[in-house]
Amino acid sequence: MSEERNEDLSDLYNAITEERGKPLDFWEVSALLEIYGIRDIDAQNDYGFENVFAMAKYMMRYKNMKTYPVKALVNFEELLPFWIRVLKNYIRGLAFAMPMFVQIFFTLSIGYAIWSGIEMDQVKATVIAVGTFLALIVTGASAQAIGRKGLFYLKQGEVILASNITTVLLNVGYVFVVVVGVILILFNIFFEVFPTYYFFVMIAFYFLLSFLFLNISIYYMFEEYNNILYFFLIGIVLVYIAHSIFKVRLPEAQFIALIFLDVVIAILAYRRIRNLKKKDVKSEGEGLPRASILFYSLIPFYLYGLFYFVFLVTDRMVAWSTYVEAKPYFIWFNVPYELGLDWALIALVFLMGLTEISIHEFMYRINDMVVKYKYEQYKDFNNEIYYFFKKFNIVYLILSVIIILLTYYAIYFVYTYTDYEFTKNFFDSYTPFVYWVAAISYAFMVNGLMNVLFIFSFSRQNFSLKAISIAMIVNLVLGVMLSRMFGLEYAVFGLLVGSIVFWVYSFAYSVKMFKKLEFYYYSSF
Amino acid sequence: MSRIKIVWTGEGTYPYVTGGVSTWADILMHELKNIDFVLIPIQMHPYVKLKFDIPPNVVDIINVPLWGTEEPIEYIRKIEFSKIYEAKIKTQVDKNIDVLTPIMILVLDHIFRRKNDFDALGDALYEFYEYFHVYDYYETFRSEALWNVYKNYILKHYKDVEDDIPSVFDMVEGLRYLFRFFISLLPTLPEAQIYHSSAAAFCGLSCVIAKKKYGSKFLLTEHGVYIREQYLAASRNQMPFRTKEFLMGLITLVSKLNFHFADIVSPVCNYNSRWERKWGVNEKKIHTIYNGIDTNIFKRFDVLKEEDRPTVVMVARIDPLKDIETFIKTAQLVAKEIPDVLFKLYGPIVDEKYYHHCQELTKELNIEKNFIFAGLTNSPQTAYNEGDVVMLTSISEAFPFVVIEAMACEKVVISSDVGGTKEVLEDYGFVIKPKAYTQFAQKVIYVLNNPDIAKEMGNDARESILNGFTIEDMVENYGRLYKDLYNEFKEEKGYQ
Repeated sequence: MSEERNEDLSDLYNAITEERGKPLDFWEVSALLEIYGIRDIDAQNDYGFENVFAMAKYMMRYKNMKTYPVKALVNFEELLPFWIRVLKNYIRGLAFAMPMFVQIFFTLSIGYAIWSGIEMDQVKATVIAVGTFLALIVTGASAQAIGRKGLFYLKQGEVILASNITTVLLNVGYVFVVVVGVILILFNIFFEVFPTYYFFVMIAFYFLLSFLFLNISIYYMFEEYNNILYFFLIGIVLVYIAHSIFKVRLPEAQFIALIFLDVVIAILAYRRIRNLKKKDVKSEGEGLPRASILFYSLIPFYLYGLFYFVFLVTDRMVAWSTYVEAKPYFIWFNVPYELGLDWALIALVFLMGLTEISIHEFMYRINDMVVKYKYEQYKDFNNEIYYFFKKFNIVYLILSVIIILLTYYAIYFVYTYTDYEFTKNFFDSYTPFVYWVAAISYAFMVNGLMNVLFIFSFSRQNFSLKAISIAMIVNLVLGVMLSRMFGLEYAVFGLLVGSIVFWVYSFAYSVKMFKKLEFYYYSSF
Repeated sequence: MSRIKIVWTGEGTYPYVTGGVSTWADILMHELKNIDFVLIPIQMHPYVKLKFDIPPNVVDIINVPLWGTEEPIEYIRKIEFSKIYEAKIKTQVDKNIDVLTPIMILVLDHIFRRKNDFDALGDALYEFYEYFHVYDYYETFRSEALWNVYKNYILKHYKDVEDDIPSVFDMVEGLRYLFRFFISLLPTLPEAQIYHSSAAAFCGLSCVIAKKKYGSKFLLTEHGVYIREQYLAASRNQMPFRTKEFLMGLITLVSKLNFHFADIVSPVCNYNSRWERKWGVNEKKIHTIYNGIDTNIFKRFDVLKEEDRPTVVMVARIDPLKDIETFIKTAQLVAKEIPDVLFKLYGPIVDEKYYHHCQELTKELNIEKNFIFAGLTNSPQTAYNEGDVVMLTSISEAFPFVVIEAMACEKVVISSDVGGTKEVLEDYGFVIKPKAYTQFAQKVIYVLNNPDIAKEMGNDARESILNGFTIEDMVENYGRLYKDLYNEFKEEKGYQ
C-alpha cells in the first residue's frame, strides 16, 4: 500500500499549499497536485503511487505541520488606532449634521441664514417655517429611499444600476414635490389660508428647499458630507452678498441664493450620477427589479423618512397651532419656542457626531468577534457585543449630559459676559425651559437613532419603522393634549415623551437583537 | 413526431457570459432547430446583458440570480406581486416549520457526510421545491425557527470535535450558503422530456426535481470537473476551514446528486471521467462527447507578418495555471539555437502579479528580443496562422479548444500532457510532461528545423480534426443522444 511508505513529500506539500487555506481532505490535495502539473503517470513514475489520488491521501499526513492563511473580515492593517478612529468618525458624524449647525450658527451670529432671519416679521417667519417643514417632510421619504437603494448598488460595484435607480428615485422625488406643491396651491386658492404674498413666500421656500434637499440627498448617498457643508456655506455667502452688500431684502435675497444653489447642485448631482456610468467598464447595468418589488422593498424607507421628519417638526406645529390671543392664522410662529428648539438643535448636532462612532465601532467589533468566538460560545459572543452596547450607552449618557450642559452654558456665557444682541432673547420667557426639555428629548432621539441604525444594518427595517411611527403618534397626541391644557410650550413634552418612546422601543429591540445576535447577524441579508 | 422540448440549465455561462461552455451551448441551440429549448441560467447576480443572439427555438429563459436581489424570487418566477405578497403573509403567520425540519436535517446529514442516501435526498429536495411553492423563501430563511433547527444541528454535530473548532462565523456562514445556493431550487420547472445540465452543479438540481416531478430524462454534460474547480476556488480564497467544510460538503452533495440521478453523464473528454468514476458514477452512464469547432473559421491561411522570423505562438490567458514561465524558459533555450526565433503570447492578463513576474523573467533570461506579450486577440485563428508552431504549456486543462483549433489550422501543436489533450493530439503533434521546458524546446527546434515534416504533421492534424472534432460531429452526437433520451422517455411514459 502506498500509504505505508515513508517518503518525505513535505517540501512538495508546502509548495502546493503555498498561499492556500488548510486543505479539507485528500480531494483538495489531489486538485492541488494536479494544478501543480503532477499527473497520474508522474505519481506512478516519480513518486511510486498508484495515481494522484493515492499520493494525495499519503500527503494528508502533513496537513497539521504548518499554519495556513485565513482571510479575515477585519483588515487590521487598515484599521486606525482606537482614539484616532473615534475622532475621525466623530468628525464624520458632525459633518453629517453640520449643515443644520451652519444654519443655526449664522442665524444667531449674523441674524439670518439660507432659510431663516431673526428680523423678519412673524408672518414671514411662520410661512417660511411651514414651507421648510413641508419640504423636509416631503423630501425626507425620497432621501431615505435614494440612500438605501443607491448604496445597495454602489456597494456591489454596480454603478450603472446605482446611477439608473438614483435617477429614477430622484425624479420620483421631484414629481412628489411638484404634486404636493400643486395640491398646496389649490388648497390655498380655495381656502385662502395665507394671503397671496405670504403664501408665495411659503410655496417658494417649499419648492426651493425641496429641490435643495433632494439634490443634496445624492451627496449624502455618496457620503460626501464635506461637499454638502461647502454648498451650505456658499449659500450663506450668497445671501450675505445679496442682502448685506446689495441690500436685497429678506427673503428675496434667500430666494436668489436658493435658486443658484438648486440649479448648480442639480447640475452637479445629475452629472455626478451620470459620470458613474462613464468611469465604469465592468458593470453592465441590467436587471433592475420590477417596479412593484422595488417600491415594496422601499416602502419601509419611504415611510421611515416621512415619519422621521414629521416627528421632528410635530411639536413645533402643535405649539404654533395652540390658541393664543391675536393669532392671525391657524399656525403662528412663536419666537421663544423656536429659540429654545434652535438652541437644543446645537446640542443635537454634537450628539449626532456620536452616531457615526457607534455604528462603526459596533460593526468592527462584531466582525472581529464573530471569527474569534467558537460556535458553542455564541452566547458569549452575543454577551460581549451586548456588554459593549451597554457600555456605549453609559458613555453616551455621560457625553449627552456634558453636551447638553456645555451647550446651555456656552449661550449663557455669551449672554452674561458679552453684549451680543442675539442671545438676549434666550433667557426670556419659556425659552430655557423649551431648551432643557428639547435637548433631553434630542439626547433620547439620537440614542434611538443609533439603535435604529443597528436595526437597519441587520435588515429589520420594519422595526425601525414601528419605533418612529409610535413615537410620532405619541408626540402628536401628547403634545396636542398638554399644549391645549397648559400652554403652547408644553408641546415640547410631546417631543420628550415621543423621543423616550422612540428610544425605549428601539432600545428594547436592540437588546433583543444583541441577545440573539448570532441569529440577527446570520439573517441580516 | 412532436417537437422535443429540452430544458437546458447552466451556471455562470450561457447566455450571459462568454466562454467555452457558452459557445458550446450557443452552437447546440442554433444548430438543433427542431428542438425547443427553455433555458434556466443560474447567475451570480441579475445585472448582466445577454451576450448571444437567442435563436427562435429558445422559447423561454428563466433567470436564477443567487445574489444581488432583495427578494430572491423577483426574477425567477414570473408571477404577480400580489402572489408573492400573499406567500409572505402566509409564511409570517405560520411557516409550518415541522415540514421543513426533517428536510433540512437530511440535507445537513449529507453535507457533513453522515449519510449517503441520495434517493431519500432527492425526495427531500423535491419536497423542499414544493414547500417553497407555497411558503415564502426569504421569510422562511430569515426566521428564527429555521435558524434554531440549523443551530441545534451544528451544536450537536461538533460537540466532540477538538481540532479546528468552528467559529460563530463558520456556523453563520453555513446557513447563509444554503440560503443562497438553494435559490436554485426556486424556479417553477416547465414540463419537458429532457433536462440537460451543463455541469454537475447547482444548475443540475432542477434536473433532479424535474425527474421526480415529470419523469424527465436527465443528461449531464461536464465540461470541466466542477467539484475540483470548487475545491481550488475555496483553497485559493483562503476560506476558514469549517466554512470550507460546509461549502464543499454542500457542493459534493450536489455533485453526487447530479451523478446519481443523471441518466447519461457526458464529459467532454475521457480524462474528465477520472473524477467522475472516483465519485462512483456508473461506467455505463458515461458517454464522452468531444467539443467541436468551426473548421471553416479555423483553417490555414496566410498572415502578413511584420518580420519574417520563425514564430512560436501560444494563445492563453496570463494565469499561473497556464504556466507561462515554461513558455518563457522554452523561448530562452530555443533562442540559443535559433537566435531570430520569436515567441508570441496572445491572451488577456488575469493575474497582474503573475504578469509582472513573467515580464521580469523575460528580462532576467535576456530574451526580450525573442518574446512578445501580444495581448488579447479577437481572432485566434489569425494568431495560430502567424505561428510555425503552436504551444500550450498549461499545467491544468480539461479539453483545451486551443489545441484542436490550432490543429485545424494545420499547425504542429506542442502541448503539455494535461487533461484530455493526449486524446486528440497524440500522433498528430507532441505531448510533453508539464513544466519540462527542455523537452518543449527540443520539439520546437525540431519542428522549426524541419518544415516539411511540420507541413505533413499539420495536414494530418487537420484531417484528424475533420474526422471527429467539428461542430457537425458534436451536434450530431448530441442530436442522437437527445433522440435516444426522448424515445426512452416516451417508452417509460407508455409503460406507466
